Amino acid sequence: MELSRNEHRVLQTLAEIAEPVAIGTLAERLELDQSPVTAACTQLSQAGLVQLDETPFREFRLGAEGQPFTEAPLPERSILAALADAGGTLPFPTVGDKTGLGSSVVGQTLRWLTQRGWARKDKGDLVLTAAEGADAEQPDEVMIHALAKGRVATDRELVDEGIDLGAALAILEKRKGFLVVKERVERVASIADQGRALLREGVTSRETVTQLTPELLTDGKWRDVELQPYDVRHAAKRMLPGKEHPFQRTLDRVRRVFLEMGFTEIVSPWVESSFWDFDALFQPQDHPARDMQDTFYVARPESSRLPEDALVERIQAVHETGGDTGSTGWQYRWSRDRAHKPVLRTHTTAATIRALAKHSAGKPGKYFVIGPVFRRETVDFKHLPIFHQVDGIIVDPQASLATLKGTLTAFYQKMGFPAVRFAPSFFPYTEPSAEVFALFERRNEFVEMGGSGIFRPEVTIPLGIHDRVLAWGLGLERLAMMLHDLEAIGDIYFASMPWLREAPLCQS
Amino acid sequence: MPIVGMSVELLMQQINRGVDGARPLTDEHLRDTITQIGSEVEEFADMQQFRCDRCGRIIERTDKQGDPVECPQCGVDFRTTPDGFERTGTNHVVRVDMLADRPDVYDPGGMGRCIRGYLGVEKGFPQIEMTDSDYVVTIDPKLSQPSSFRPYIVCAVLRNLELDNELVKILMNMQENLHWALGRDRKLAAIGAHNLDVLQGTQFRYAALAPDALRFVPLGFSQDDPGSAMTPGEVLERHGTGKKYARLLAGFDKYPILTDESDAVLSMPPIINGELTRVTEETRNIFLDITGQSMRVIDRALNVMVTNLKELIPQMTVERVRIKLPDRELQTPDLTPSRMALSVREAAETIGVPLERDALVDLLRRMGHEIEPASTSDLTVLSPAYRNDIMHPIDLIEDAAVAFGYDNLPADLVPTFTVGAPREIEERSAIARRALTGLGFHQVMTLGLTSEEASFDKWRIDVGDPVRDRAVRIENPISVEQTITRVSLLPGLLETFAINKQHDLPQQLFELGDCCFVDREAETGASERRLLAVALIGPHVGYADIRAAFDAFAHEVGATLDIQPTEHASFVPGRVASIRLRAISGPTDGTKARAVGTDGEIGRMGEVHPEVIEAYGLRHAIAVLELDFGAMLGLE
Repeated sequence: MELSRNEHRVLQTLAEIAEPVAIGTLAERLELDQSPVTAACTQLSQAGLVQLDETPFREFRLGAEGQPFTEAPLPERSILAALADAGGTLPFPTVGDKTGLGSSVVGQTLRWLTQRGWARKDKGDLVLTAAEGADAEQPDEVMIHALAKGRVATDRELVDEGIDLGAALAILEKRKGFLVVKERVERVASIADQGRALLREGVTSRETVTQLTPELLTDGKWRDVELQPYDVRHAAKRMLPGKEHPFQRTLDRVRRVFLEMGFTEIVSPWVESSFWDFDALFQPQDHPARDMQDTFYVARPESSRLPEDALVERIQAVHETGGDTGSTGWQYRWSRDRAHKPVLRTHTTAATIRALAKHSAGKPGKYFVIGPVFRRETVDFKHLPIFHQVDGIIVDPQASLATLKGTLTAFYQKMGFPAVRFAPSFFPYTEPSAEVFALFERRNEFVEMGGSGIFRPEVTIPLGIHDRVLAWGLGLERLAMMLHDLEAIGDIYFASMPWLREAPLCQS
Repeated sequence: MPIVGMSVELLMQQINRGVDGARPLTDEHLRDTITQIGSEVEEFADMQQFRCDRCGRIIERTDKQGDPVECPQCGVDFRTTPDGFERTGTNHVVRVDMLADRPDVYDPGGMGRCIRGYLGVEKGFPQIEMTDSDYVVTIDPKLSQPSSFRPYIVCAVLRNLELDNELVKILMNMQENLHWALGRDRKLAAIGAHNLDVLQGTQFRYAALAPDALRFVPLGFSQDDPGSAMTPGEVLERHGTGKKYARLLAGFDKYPILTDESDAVLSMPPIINGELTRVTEETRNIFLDITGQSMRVIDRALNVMVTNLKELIPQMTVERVRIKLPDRELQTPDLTPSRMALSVREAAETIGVPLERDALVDLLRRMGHEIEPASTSDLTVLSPAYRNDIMHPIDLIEDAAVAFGYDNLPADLVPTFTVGAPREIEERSAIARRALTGLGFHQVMTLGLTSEEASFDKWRIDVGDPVRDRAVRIENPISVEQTITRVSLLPGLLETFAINKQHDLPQQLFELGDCCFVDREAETGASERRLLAVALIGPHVGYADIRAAFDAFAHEVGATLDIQPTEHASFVPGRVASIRLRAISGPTDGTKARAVGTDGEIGRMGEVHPEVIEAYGLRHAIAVLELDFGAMLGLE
């Protein structure tokens, strides 16, 4: 049998000592650090050559509250002296002044006076009750003095010094901040019969190294040494990779899903004309959503340009009379001025409607956009004046309420929500309209995700599109909050470093 | 959208009307049915009822809402008049979040009718017998002029009512809900209900009168106290409701007034009714008036009032009133159904299920429509006059889909093959994020709206600096913290450092996101640029760190850039560099860079000025980089 150099020395030394010895003592004797000695003992013990025993012990030092009393007497000792001077009784309110301790310290000390049986409070007085021997230094006082000057001592050492540890701790452990106690383990090694037998039989040993160095590899010396085994159960230092923001990961997943489903990614400006944000979507100009109350209007730039006159006139006609769409229209006087007014876009439908205006009539198409939208909302844990939406449209002769439901079901299934439900709803630019709910399994409930529908003919026909167009606008922050288990929308935008560092990548 | 509370007991009576031995729906079944016809049930609740001492209005509040703070009818403020109401009991109600386009289901009469149809108890819509009354309302032509513009009025006479507490409340709620849903808070339509029996004669006048032309006692004041009479002008100054709605008459030099033959004031639309004609539980006959700016809107509002009250009060009779407009005459109410052609094939294709003519007819009749008998394969659909939302055949198709049941729809996919296409800038952004996270940076996402203080003042950018005018400014901000769009990502990064002061250093962040700039060339007047900002904070951070990160990043994304010394107020003098465009290499071969500034500057990097660090309450050196990512890649 061959042992490492350290193991061999440990075994020999244990044989020489011939009685159980603490690892620390053993390391001192071997003039080695404690960790290789521990490692060697562990190896030897696993091989049955050494017996390793663990003995728990406690280590004491004084806490911040206890330190002053290595010099000064405990307050109860001062009070005892004052009582004795006064002949055994003092009016309680005067004790603070008499001892110079102040009334609040006296109040706190009453407990210890009572516990030690030195005094008790009788109506308004403090009465001496101390029996003989109270003058002598008590075990806790002895221990305080023993731990002076920051000394750290084990329970065994203190007992060896003659301290009644039980009595001392009965007081000191209850006094907040007096004592710092650490539970520790002492490992004691002794040679086993098998170890002695092995030494008798004779054993060879090799040098132990911790690091495989270029030198060892170059000169081939690695063959003569042993690489010290490690306790592989221990974790090493903590590493944290740089990461994309969790919300970005959700946005990417949404984007990937729509690309997988054959959609073309589009974009539109944050600042949008009222024309594209509202008018092209058949929202009448007196619609409440267009109020200053709900929409951010833009002061700079002051005005947006409108598209070509022919389109503007078709939109005007559809608002006023329905134009050639077969609709009655809203029957009011449409204002071109109001259409020029720029807003911060209130929905990403502004992007899909622009894409539809550019789309070649008669051809199928699928478009999606992901981006921020703006609503004049007061900030709370669910709302910010800016949030993200994904809007999508499908232009297709086979577009229907059923294919809308199928498309959104496919989307949410890919996002991890197994089922989608529709409920009838109302939006000015879709008919039929449906509120979209997705099954959130963790809470076993259908959660409202956004709106959807088929664009009204009043929306599509002025753009020259005669196929039906499916459309939806879904909120993304809420989705991300569910996927990342967030309480407040602000957690996304005012992120804490630990969350950015620790939120696992598998949570997307 | 407003939430309307309806007595569950009364609603059940309406739903089960004419059905012998019908079992009442459970609350749960009722919730489901209401959801399936398109309204959302907020909750079932026991409401506390209060009655306003001054005008008799019944007010219902949930326990959570507590006591009422003001009367929605006469405007009395209960905070200053704490004994201004009495408690009249509790009412088990279903509270429903109402669909904006269906004001005909905002009360138990209309909702009951709709549910009876949906459940198949009663199909089509009811015919209401009407007779002509002697009442005539003549409209003053001045009401068509801009200085007193409220040109239209429609009226009806309702007789033989038996009102109780609940019905009076419903009548008043109907008016308020219609004011919201159709009237745009009384602007487009304002409703008045009057006790017919106190009115004199039959020849009424709807006129534009000077603010001091007459005096009347407005609702909520004592008819017996001569001191409480006011001129129209005084109503706007002194009456709670008058003050609240005065803006609707702002700029007018004459106000609309409806008077009877003895010149007694019925109402001063759209502000308030007269106390004289107030409706109470004792009222047996009612004169209804609705004034407004759109004939279509007030017509629908009147039809909803009349038909829904008829559902609730079956013995009620309805009489028409003759309206003399300056150029023509009308008889109102006009309950003629609207007529629209509907293609069966179009309906089936839109819903996405096979649907025969008869099945479609049944679905439509369950939603309260009738079908004209005809020999054609397509349908001529008659829709009741109380429906405000039937503008196009597509609206009928939605009704059919609702009756079919959204839960019964299959989940299909369009069979058309399409090829997806990402945006180039997004693909490149993904590469950039991969490079930066590989370098150990954490991405943050901060808000796109900010303030001048956060964007410029904290960064030592002078008031006169032209960059300040490049941010888009909001006309009606909701908070001082969000008044402009962001034109830099750096403030967001330093704010993130500031909220993470207590955490381990160094911290290394980046944001890759859009900033929005005023852009005269752009169609809407502004455009976005994709910017990249990188920031490090820590005890040993300096220019070399950001320079190293920049060089590594530029290499990974395939950009070749010039670095030149520059100066900038936000940076430590002598430790700031200008990043300039040279040429681009990379996957999109042949793309040439487009200069952004006159000298091709696309960004800066360096050590942040200590005054900026101080402004964020931070205690360590910060190095940053910001550049125009799109310009760097020649993608614009």
